[in-house]
Amino acid sequence: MTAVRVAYSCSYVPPEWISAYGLRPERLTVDCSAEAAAKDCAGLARLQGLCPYARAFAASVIAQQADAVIFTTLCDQMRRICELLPAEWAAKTFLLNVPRTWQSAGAFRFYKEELVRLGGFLETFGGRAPSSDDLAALMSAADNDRQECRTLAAESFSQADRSLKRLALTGGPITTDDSWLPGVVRQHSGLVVLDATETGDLGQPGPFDHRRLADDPFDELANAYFSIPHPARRPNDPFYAWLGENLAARQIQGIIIRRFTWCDTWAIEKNRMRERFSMPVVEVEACGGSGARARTHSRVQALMEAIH
Amino acid sequence: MKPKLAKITLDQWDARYEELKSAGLAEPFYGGPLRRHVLDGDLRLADLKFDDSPAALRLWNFLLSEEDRLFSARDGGKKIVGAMKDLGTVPVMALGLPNVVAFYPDGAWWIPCVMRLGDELLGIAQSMGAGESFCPVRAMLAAFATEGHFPIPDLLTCSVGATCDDFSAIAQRLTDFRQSILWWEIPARRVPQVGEEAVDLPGGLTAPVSQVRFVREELERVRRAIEDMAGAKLDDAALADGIAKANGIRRLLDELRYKAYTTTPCPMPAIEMLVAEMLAIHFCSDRQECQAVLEELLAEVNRRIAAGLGVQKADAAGIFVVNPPADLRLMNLLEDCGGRVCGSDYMFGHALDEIPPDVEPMEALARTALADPMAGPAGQRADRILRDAEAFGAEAVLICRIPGASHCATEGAVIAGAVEASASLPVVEIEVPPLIDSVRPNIQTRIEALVETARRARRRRK
Repeated sequence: MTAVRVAYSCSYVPPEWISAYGLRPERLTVDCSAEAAAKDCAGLARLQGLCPYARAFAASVIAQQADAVIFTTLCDQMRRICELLPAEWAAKTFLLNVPRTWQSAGAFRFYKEELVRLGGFLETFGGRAPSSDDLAALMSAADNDRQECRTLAAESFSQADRSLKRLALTGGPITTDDSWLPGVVRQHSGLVVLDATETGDLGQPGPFDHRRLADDPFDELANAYFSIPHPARRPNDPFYAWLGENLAARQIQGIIIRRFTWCDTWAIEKNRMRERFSMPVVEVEACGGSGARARTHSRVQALMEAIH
Repeated sequence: MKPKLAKITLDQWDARYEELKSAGLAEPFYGGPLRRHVLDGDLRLADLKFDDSPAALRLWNFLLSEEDRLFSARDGGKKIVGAMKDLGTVPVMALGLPNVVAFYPDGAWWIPCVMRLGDELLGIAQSMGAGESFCPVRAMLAAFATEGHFPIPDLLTCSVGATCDDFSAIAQRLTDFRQSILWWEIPARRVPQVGEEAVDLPGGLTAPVSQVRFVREELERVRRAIEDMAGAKLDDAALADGIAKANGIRRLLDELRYKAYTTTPCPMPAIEMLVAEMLAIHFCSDRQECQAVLEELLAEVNRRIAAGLGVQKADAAGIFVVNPPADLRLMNLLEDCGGRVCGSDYMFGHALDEIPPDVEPMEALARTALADPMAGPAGQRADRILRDAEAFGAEAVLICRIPGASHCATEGAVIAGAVEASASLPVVEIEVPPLIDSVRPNIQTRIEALVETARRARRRRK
């Protein structure tokens, strides 16, 4: 029997929680090409001012025929797309309220209540609430996988060609449209050694605390995901603390911000990063088509020239 | 046939003002000719047409003197709360303490229009990282940086959660300029699930009890911050008093809106009604005077209704306006095209509805905050627009698109779809920049088409 596929995009959706219900979480890598959006999501393609990622995510949900989709409130346009998608596609949709604030106990409790509500949603199409032991086992496995990735990344970093300029890539989720970007960076004698995009290290929860995981796995799951330092949180100081720490640890020399047109969350951070970190920062357009690629080439080249 | 009242230009107001003064016009302390605001840089006034009544003069003077009022409040030892985004809740809390005054820095979004871009706020905002992909509220960022448009508040609050990303990002940028912000959360309002404990909100909405409880806790943090700033206890009795005063304003506006939007001929121009509605969100920093201003405006409307006088022809097409236009001139243009306003949703409907008087004050405020039309699904907002459009007898709907606003990419389609499907009213969605001059022919043509369509439908109904 094929598992029910639950699509999502936001880092604050814990895939372990979906797996624990016996369903298959799929964090979609979306296809940003205009053709895909127009073909699969004609109604949304007509909307002016719509974030290309939001549109492409909806198109990808349809193209990949997900059974259910989880949106979150972390992005205003994604929140609103959740309301429009049912007119385009018959998948079940769920809007997970992710608090923008993080400094009150109430905000954390609210997030936990939302995860419980998500569990209820998953049960409406075959999911079964997990036991604590089952959840803890899944979490441990996922934690081990992430740790393995971190170890590999560290090894890769330590073995990297020291003559290459070390860059951080930050911004919104990576799409299929971005596969060429590392090549461009290499072409200009650079190497991305920190993936601080929403789908990269930035969007990963920290390691679970094994004692708390044994005591109350759900609470630990919620705590780990709630603590992800996204720039949309308010205030977003934890994002800068995380970024500063990782820039230093990996001896980063320059930052590339990938921004989707109309994405205010990342747009405002360009100047802020420039003011905070003493290294060059450039912005490149994500999902911008062939014209944007030419601009990206020039910008990456300029970034490399600015790094001494 | 009764004569149509004339709307007058700024030049005509100069003469009208002298005429009124000669006739013994008594004005409040902030009174004076409208011309002085132009001399202060509010250049757009010279392009507008105004109602010619003393009540309208008082309304405009009250609005345009807020900056002076805030600086005077500070000089007088009052503490100032800058409330951002919640549009109607935090200022009601501030009403509970006599030494506190609240205002919305958000209002700076109209400065580029009112000053005809003269203060270059949008350019300054761009240099700070908030370019044209942001809505005009980015002017607020520059207004804080230049410190020239309002006093820097003693306490700055900002509601986040289900808000537009433009605002949230711009507010975050403010913290780089020594502005510490009390962030508080209004989550995306959702429909209660089957079996879930629910509560009624103002505006005919419902929400899960858990969401209201969360907002109430958040507002408790705001209450403590106001108390810390003011050095005084903001107890429930004081809050209840503030709520009662706010409801007094809301009832007044309710009557004013009903009469102005349903009476034919239309007794008050669209632009003055827009300004009057805006007073609901924070009383323009003086609740008592706000009430007096609105009472005088209502008295003028009543007088005109009794006399059968109006500012538009009786056959003007009734237009329901959605979203505040970034350029006030649009309200004049709508009337020049043969329309009149019959209902509005300027994004703060929750600031017009009465705050529940029969529950604990913090509970009442939480319910009101959560009833924000922008915090819920656009479909719910569309439902309210449909109800109000019917109640006000609107014949068409004009959706003003705010350039760059994250909500405008999708909500127009939802609202237009609902209006066309349920009420068969014609709808147009028009992007309104801070100055419409360069796109005026296009906008005018579209509004004229909307008016003609509405009139044709009216003829068919007869």
